[in-house]
Amino acid sequence: MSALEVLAQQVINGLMLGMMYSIVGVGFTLYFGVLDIINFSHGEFYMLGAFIALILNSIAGAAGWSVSPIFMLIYIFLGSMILTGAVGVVTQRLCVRPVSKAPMLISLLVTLGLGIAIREAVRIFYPRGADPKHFPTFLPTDSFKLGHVIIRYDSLIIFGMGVVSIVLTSLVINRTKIGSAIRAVAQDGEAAMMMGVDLDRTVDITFFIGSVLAAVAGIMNGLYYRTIMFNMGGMAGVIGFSAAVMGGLGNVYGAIVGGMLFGLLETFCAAVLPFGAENKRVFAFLVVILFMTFKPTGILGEKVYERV
Amino acid sequence: MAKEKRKSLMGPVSVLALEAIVYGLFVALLLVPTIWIIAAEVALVGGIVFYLWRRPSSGKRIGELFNAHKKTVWVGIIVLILTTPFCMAYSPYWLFIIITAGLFTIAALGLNLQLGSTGMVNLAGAAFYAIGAYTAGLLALNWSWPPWLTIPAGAVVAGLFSILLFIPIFKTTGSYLALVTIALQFMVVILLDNQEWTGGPQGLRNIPLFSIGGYSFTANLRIGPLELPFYANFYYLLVLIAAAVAIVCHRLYQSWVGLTLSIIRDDEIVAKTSGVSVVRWKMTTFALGNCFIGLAGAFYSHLVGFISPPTFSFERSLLLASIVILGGMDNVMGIIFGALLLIILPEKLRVISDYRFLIYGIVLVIMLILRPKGLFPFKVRDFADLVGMARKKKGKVPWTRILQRRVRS
Repeated sequence: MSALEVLAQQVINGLMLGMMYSIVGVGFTLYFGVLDIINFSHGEFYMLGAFIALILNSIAGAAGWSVSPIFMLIYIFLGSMILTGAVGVVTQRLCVRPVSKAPMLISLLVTLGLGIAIREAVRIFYPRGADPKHFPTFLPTDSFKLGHVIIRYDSLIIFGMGVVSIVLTSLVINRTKIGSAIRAVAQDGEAAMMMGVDLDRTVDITFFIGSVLAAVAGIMNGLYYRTIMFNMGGMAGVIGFSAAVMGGLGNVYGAIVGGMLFGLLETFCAAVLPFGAENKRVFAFLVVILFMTFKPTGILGEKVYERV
Repeated sequence: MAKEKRKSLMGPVSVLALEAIVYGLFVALLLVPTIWIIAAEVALVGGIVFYLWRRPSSGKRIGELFNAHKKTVWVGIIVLILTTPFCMAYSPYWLFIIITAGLFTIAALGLNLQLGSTGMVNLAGAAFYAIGAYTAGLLALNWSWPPWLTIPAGAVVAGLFSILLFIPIFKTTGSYLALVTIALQFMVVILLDNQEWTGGPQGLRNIPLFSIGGYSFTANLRIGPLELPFYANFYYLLVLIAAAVAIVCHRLYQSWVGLTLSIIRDDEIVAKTSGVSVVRWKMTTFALGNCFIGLAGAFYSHLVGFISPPTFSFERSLLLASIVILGGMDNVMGIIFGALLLIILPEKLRVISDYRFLIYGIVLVIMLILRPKGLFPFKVRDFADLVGMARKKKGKVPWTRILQRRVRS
């Protein structure tokens, strides 16, 4: 295997990881845009999406609907997206909105508490929820070789799903009326309200989109690794937040760039550095800290001047 | 004559009686084994709060009573604190939980300097706790330092480590600072998990428990005919340390240092334009706060004798932050109360162990939504009496001197 091929393999692995991180990161960026808060329960929606998919799958299994893998995929994706999105909107109304004007620390702790509640609810109420769960495989499991680089078919499909969901999100945000409402609220909530934008509805829809994206990332994770755990949301949330901040908080494309960067960093550290495999996240977080120190507005963020 | 004397006795006696009642409720909460005691006490306290809310005059009277007999109040509190091991003589488990709450009080007071006084978000509390604990453990195991040296060493190393990290900490604020500290927290735990010399996932075992000059703290404490569980030794030592830390924090809050930190918290730009060196004070409070957290961690490793990375997870950092925020930022008494509440409540809920973190999360959310400033929000400093003082001494002492001498809450 030549050095170039090793590199190519790492790039492929890194992009796969990065895709999931990006999709989680987009949610953080959207929430920060419309409500100016960091929603730390977001990682738990990533986990919740995967578990709802699992429940839907067992319902289908019990009812004998398992016709074809394609039907099952669509059914699981759509069902989990809608349900997770609904949970996102409801919890936003109940917990996040009342503290959106409070100091940043309060909203941070409230969302963290919400995250704990969601995680524990899944652990308790899902049958044997503390164990790792096998995630059904609907995708072809074989792989092909490009030179010496091994590419799994399912990775390609999952990557394609990620690209589609990112493109769809950017279309919704840039090309639709509700998207322009979201962008307007992100720029200036009060001015947007004076122009006739319904603030509550916009925030609801933003949280719906964010939770739906988290569910997509969660299902992608399940399809890729084929197991899910009730506690996988915590790390995903932190990494998603890191991705959003590295790219520039408030900028959707920034979150994508940041997520890819984080994924690539992790895989390269694991492959190249000595003792990298165990410590890959240490290096990735070190880069996050360096970024925060020397380029705090992120890769795509604009320079902000503090006004007195 | 006799009547007057009786009247002067009435005040202190009723103060002591009130304290004894509150303390009795607290002890009953711990020692009565059914879970219904929580419901009963919540109902009782809720009723009293409701009553005081409807009749503010009686609440005011109680406040005046306590203010008038400050010495009696403190004597009562000290006596009650010292008698706690006697009440817990047959339940060392709860004594251990109270010691844990004391450790978290020390750590939370340190965190409060950053979070409450200066407004610096630090979600890496557990990481500095770990640094203190591992420093003490490694020094004791590898170089067999005595515990009375390793505990200060743990505090100092945690402080030095925070100075090393100062550039990223100072350069960022708000959510960015939160992210930097979260990243730091994860880095420290992963590193501890993967290094050979920290024992990896198994952690450090057989750390010698606290002993001083040949007196081992693992022997049961004998006072006259009474024999107390050996945790009583730790308890008294911890009370001593916690009291020292609390007094330092309270004096800092009262001094012009506390005032300076408040200005930085409320408006950094105003602080800069008034000639406050923001860099210097942020660095000082960050290092000092982490010193206290490291101190608590070092004490912890000599208390249980076994430390491993999962003990210092991100959840612990959150617990510390919630103690500070729920108890009331920048309020020493509030933080002590918050630590007792947040450490004891989950232990009490252990009966329904499966549901306790769910309930904990829900309670956290509800409390923060209902009381976003914490249970005991900090009071705005009142300078009214200072103005009076300055007027009386007009021309003799400059205002700033008076301010520096005594900034009262």
